[in-house]
Amino acid sequence: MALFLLKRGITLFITLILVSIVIFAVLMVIPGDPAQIILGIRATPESLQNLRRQLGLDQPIAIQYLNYMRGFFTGDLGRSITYEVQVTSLILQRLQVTIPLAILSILFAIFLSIPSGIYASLHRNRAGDYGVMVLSQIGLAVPAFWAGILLILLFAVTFHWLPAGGFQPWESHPIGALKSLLLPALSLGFVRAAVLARMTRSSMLEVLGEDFIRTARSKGLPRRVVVYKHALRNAIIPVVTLIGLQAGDLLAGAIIIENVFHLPGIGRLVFEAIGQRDLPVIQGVVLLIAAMIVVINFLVDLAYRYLDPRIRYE
Amino acid sequence: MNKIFSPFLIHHPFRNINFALGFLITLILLLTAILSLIYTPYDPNRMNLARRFLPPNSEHWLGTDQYGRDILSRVMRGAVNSIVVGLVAVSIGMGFGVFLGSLAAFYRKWVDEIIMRISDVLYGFPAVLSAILITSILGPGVINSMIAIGIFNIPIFARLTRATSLSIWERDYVTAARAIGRRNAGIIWNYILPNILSALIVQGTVQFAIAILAEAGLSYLGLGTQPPHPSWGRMLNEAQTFMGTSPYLAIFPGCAIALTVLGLNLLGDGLRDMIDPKLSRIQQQI
Repeated sequence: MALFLLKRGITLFITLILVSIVIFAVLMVIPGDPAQIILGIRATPESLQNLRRQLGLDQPIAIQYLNYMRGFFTGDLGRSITYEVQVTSLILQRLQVTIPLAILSILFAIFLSIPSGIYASLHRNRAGDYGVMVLSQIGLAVPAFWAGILLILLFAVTFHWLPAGGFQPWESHPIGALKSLLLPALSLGFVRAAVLARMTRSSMLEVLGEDFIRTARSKGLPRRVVVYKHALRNAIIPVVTLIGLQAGDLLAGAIIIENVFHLPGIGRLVFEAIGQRDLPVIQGVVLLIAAMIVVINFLVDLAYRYLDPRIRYE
Repeated sequence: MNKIFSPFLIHHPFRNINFALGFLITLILLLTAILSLIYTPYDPNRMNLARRFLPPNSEHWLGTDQYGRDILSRVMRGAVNSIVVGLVAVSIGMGFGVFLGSLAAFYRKWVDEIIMRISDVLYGFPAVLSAILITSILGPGVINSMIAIGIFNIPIFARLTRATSLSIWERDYVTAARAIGRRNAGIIWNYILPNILSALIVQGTVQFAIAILAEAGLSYLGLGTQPPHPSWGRMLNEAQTFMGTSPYLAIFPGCAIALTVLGLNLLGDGLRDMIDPKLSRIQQQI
């Protein structure tokens, strides 16, 4: 176990470093001089030169990268050019929207998909199964942002039950904040649920055909115990992996959804930062998302080893 | 000898309901796109401010938008845009991906290790985020969005090519071809690629659908196809502003995206079921 954790920890670190190099290199070629953006077009060459020196932009790229990574590990991601505040505090503030959004949509996806996947597998080739499969095909085909627009049309424009967009702060309006996140989370969750339901169904079907299930049934165990204790425990492993993989996608998918619902999350932050050429914010957010995905994958790896003790810690 | 896949060798393909439905929807989409190049009820870009926000009626079957443009004509022409972006993006991904995957499977050792680690990094990176970053570097536009979507397809095809061709290199007929002195490039072209073609076609269909979704997303954000050219994603973005008064604007372009993706997904599922049921397992593993 300790050796496994050490090996995976090293791989995790190397992947993070590789990702950070790729991101740093890619962002170096974004057109636009940050010093020029800050000082405007009337800036004198001397003032531009001074600011570049102040920001460290006159140093070789390798040194800029090392300085940046030192900052990343100490929580200093520089100052935002547009907002003129620390990027770390800006990201932390925006994560208050994105993290609950991601968690809510995963919860929606799990509650929609796992019961329907189990139901479909237990009613194979019957009306219920076809119903779930048709719905999941629709879920796979509908873009999350269109699902969002349709939900706004239904719940905000027609019934006026939920807000069409915007966000109220957690501190002053916790219920309002939760309400603002319901529709975006549902639109992200519905699309994810389609994939998870199909995976749950196929994984359950595979496990239900195994010898140990036949043994459990022939011992006279109640159907509920066979399905939920024996089959589901084994069938859930690939589903957990997929949930982990989707968590990363959710963070990125939030970019479009946060724009649909005008939510001040990190997705909207990075999108606006790209438009404003706010390099420190783009670097910070992209690196953070990548780091979160790598860490989530690592945790998923640990989770399915816990769920299935047969998987060895190699 | 090597088994060469051809969709024409499949007997009674339309007995597979997924394939039949997917084929039908995709065919309708293709015909609509081709038809829109020679005929649309109205010029898709022609504004007519006197006929703004008309709901669906006998003259404008799907209504008109905020500039009085005919929605049906724009949805029809938007199909060309989606198909071209999807085709080019998948071709970029497949071209580079198959090349890199073949190199990894042939040379193995450090070449394999480097290609696969880089593709792991790219694969783990969210596609939407990469596409947004790339289009923000290259600038918004339809060509740059094709390149952006194509780039995130590369690791998918590289991993698939490597995974499926590794075992084929160990087959007897490949050993025999080597023994009679056939060149490696010739072996890859004549023996390896025909054997992995079915997997590539199935994955290509799925990626085509994903590329259409990605293009719609980028155009929605204003990074893909630029106005006045019709694009389904862009139309949805514009529709959102007028949702309170003209909700139909947000319905039809979305239906077009969903139907297209549904058709391609069903086609991919059907092809996979018919060609090789084992393939679905490999595709889940990569």
